[in-house]
Amino acid sequence: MTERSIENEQRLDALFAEHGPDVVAYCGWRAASTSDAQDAVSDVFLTAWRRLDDVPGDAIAARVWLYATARRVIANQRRSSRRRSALQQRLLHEARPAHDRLSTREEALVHEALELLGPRDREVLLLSEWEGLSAAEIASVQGCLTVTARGRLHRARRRFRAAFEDVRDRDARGAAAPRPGGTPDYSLLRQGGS
Amino acid sequence: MNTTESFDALRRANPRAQAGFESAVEDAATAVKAAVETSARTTRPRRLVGVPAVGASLAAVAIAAVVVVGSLGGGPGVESATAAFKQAATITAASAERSGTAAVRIEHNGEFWAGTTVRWNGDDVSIGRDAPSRPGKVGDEMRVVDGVLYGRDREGLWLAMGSPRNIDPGSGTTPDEYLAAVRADVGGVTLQRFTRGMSGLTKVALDDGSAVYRGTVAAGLIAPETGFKEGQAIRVFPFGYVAHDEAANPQAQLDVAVTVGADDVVREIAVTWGMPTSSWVYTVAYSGLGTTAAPVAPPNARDLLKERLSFERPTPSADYRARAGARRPGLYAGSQPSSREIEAERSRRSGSAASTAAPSKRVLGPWSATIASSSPRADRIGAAIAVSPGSRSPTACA
Repeated sequence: MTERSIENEQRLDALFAEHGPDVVAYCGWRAASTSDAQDAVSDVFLTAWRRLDDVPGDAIAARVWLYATARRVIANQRRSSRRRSALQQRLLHEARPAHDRLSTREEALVHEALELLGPRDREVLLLSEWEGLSAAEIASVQGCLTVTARGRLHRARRRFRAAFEDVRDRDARGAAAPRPGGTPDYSLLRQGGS
Repeated sequence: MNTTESFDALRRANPRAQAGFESAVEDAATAVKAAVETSARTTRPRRLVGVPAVGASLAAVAIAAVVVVGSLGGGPGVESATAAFKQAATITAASAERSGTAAVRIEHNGEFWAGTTVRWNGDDVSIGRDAPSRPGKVGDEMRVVDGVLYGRDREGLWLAMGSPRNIDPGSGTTPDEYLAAVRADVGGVTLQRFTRGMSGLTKVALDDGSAVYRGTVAAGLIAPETGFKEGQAIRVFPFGYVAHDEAANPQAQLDVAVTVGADDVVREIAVTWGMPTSSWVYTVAYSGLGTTAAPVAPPNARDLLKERLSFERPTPSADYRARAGARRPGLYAGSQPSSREIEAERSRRSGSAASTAAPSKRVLGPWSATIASSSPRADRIGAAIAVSPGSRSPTACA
């Protein structure tokens, strides 16, 4: 093995050690199924491996680069799997944790509220709240202006709050909550279930 | 409720806090390593592994003295067997990247039930099917060579069917999609599922240097896709065969034997299940990984597009049309609405319905021009309208 390839492997290892959990988490709630999420994580770091020279040296910029790559990988996955729309629907349902898998009722309500949001609102909100990205970083991931990302985030927050209040009120009145969704069951991911 | 409360709830639901997340990250690290290793192998120039014929390996399995290395109880032997098995899956994926042959065969109660042979080389692929229990399907074959799709007509003669891109890309039947699925089945996620999900792994070393890994894998990992057919849930094996009986139960543990050659490439996967009265054996035999020649275009294939373009509708003579039209009015007025349609339209509309309902002046159908007996002055209506046909039928021409 050449010195350069060893350096590259070390850099990829460092990249995964630093940002791997972020990419796993992002792919986990963005992909259609747990197996898709696992494939997406592999594809993201494979892309990083092939284009190591393009990965920014700065840690924050590298993290945004990986998120943006993951976003494109998942978009490609969705395009290629559109043909299996029926299957995808099944996977979407499979990816959704059942009530008993969620640790709390509150968590179930959160997922139910997220399900009521549009895909773009959900993505921008979770990039901010779960992934901790700033508006400027979200703009880099989504390929839009910072002011646009800020506006989207503002609207997504407002809609989430309204949705959460709605489902919580409904839950308090005892109405049966629809099946929640949005995050994978990581125990399934570990088993390689699909 | 205040804003903080709802967003606190959202933050507490972060999947990073879920049980199993750390393990998922560890698994992802392993998968990334494997993917990078595979990538490195495939980018090496012509480092492709040839595999001897499957028949020879099966014969070797039958006659070789066996040595059990692993055990059901776990321990170092099993760990090394698992590692070797995973390595074989990785190398197979790398070898299958460029070309290969996969022969799928299903036996029911010892009798051949269905089979498919897939050969691929780059973007060229041939898919041959043999399903003795399905009349008319035996010998079906499809090829894609240099971007042209070939298939057989009812007489078994080859047809050049044009670019595969003309097939509906959402149908799941395009050669590109099929090829992607084959690659996934041969060396991608399918083998990874097997390696991750196999329990009770034992390794039997054979004299020729190959090894047979045996264990059980949940049916849900082998046949993961669920669809619905005639109201019943179905699970589908790699290469598209529906799982029957016990294999349709995702929790059922199916016996799996994976034969790995001395070159660390998977040669055959065999899955067995079922009761003595209804036993199934599903095998996928790999050969020529990295060495399978590209399929060739069938000689003397007829061009379907040319045939369609040269096809001319026989036009009856004017005399025949007049006589037939007298016997059956409207026979040649194919583009005209029927009297029932006119009545329905009249009942729904007014105004233009009357003109719609007016009987056609044409007796010989839309192909005869209707010339206006008089026309407005050209300087008032313009040349474009002046030369337009009298008929409003979209199929008519002046």
